[in-house]
Amino acid sequence: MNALGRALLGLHAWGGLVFGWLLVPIFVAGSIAVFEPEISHWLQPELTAPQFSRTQAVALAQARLGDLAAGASAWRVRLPNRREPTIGIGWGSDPRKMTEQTLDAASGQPLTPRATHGGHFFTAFHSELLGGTAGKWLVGAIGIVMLAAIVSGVLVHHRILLDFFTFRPWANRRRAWLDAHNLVGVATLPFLLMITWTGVVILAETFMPAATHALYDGKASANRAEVVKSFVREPAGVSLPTKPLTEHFAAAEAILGADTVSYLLVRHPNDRNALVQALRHVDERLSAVADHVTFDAATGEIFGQQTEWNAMAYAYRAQVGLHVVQYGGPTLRWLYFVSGLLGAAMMAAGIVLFERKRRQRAGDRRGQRLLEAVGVTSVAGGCIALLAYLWAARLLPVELEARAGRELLCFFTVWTATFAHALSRGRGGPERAWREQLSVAATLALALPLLDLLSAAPSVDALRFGVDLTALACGALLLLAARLFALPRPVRSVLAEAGS
Amino acid sequence: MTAIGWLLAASALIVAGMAAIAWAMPRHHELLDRPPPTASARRRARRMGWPMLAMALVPCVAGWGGSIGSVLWIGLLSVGVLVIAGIITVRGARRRT
Repeated sequence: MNALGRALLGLHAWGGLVFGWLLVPIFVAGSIAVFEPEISHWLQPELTAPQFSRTQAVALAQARLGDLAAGASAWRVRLPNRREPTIGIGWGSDPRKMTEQTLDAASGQPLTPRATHGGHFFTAFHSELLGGTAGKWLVGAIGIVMLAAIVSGVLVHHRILLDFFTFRPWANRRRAWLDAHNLVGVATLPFLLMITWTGVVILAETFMPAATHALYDGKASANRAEVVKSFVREPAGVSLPTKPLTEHFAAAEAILGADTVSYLLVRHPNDRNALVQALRHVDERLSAVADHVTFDAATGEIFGQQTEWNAMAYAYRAQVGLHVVQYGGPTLRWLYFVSGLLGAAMMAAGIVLFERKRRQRAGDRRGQRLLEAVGVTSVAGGCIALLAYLWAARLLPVELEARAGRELLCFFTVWTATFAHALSRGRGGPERAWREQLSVAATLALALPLLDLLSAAPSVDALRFGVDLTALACGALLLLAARLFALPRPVRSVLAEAGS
Repeated sequence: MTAIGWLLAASALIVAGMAAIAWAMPRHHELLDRPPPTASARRRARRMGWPMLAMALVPCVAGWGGSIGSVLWIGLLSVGVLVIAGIITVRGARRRT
């Protein structure tokens, strides 16, 4: 191997190992985050999922807002949809800091969901490791190393084209792990390149803010305001009743398309200068740009609309859209979910492979045991901690003070405990730690439906049931993964059983 | 046709195409302890396989439109590779137990 090859191998092996430790949980959390609304619904058994009519939902929301917040300077209505079957209302003076309430989509009765980070926890962990701007920098740096690891990986594992479709679990252990790493890596290569690249692009503004800073006087939002047209005016101070929102809603759907309006925003309700803005969802377009139309609230005349966008806005938002997969419905969401988990599995196989190879040279030293413990903690421990969050969010008492914060405490405590466990069980090889932690993760996943049925008995609906079934399937896969570390010639016999 | 119909059509074409391409590689016959196919049989298999992969783009675009359809197509190619690799592995493992 020449010097360049050795350098690439070193980059791929060490870069992949160290950054893979965080990339695996980031990929797992990102895959789960694809189903953020479903998970939020699952985590809050207080939420209902009735049959609803969208027009009726608009009327119910307006009635409720009229009762609660007639004097507020802005109202917001989130319409129910199949993934989030409740009405969300908000009111206040600042559209970013509204008082919020959730209503039953059929009756309009207020619901009292528990305080939780919900499914957003997985998105926040995925995009910033729950660490704000510093977390974004770290995730961005990890993403850039991931790109380098992908490119160097293609060059290092140059046999991947010869070995296309090849997985030989009956060969020696290292061959089997290498086959799995290469096969999954090469099969999901387009997805991995796309998702990593677009992830870095989304974060680019965070770690290269200089241009925006210089051109827009430090106001990043000014850049956005140039692209997204804003139709606003001052209140007149003269009262004039706002027409029923259902009329504006029907007019908006006539312009934006049937069944497309997802939000309504009312500025200065019941003032002569009141405005009603309707925002369209982006469910069937790759480029995540939300068309919108604004009406005069009292007369129903169109005050302004934006359904055509700057070409650069389309181009940039297509990269964002590609990453966050709002588009394409359940087919694309499941494809992303499976591809993301496969990516995590590919990296986990790489970590196992490297640490095994190193053990042959380094022996049972303390440094080697530390590397192995971190590997176990990152992959198996990460799965345990993410699942523990789901358990904590369901089991912590509803009336607990600072409840959402305690969920995070549970998550981090459990993850730290898995590290202590991996360190203490690592003498003579990490197999036992892998097996035990993957078994615990499998148990946590397999028992989730039981938890759901026992603690949310009256309100099991299709959304909740979908999460339960997915947890069962993931638990079964984790169980299979645990057995890879259990038997003397593990992969082969496990597969033989699976195939018979 | 509904989304499920288009999805099934695209998946069938992609799995069949990947199967033909894998069949054209002597290594996989080796893994299953079979004599390798002749050069002309391999060429025929490749000439069947690649167009099937390309044809799968049609149901993807028909069901989801050009931009989303092409993303879906690339994603299904990944799934196709893993399905065929899985089938070869399970059959190979059975021969060895």
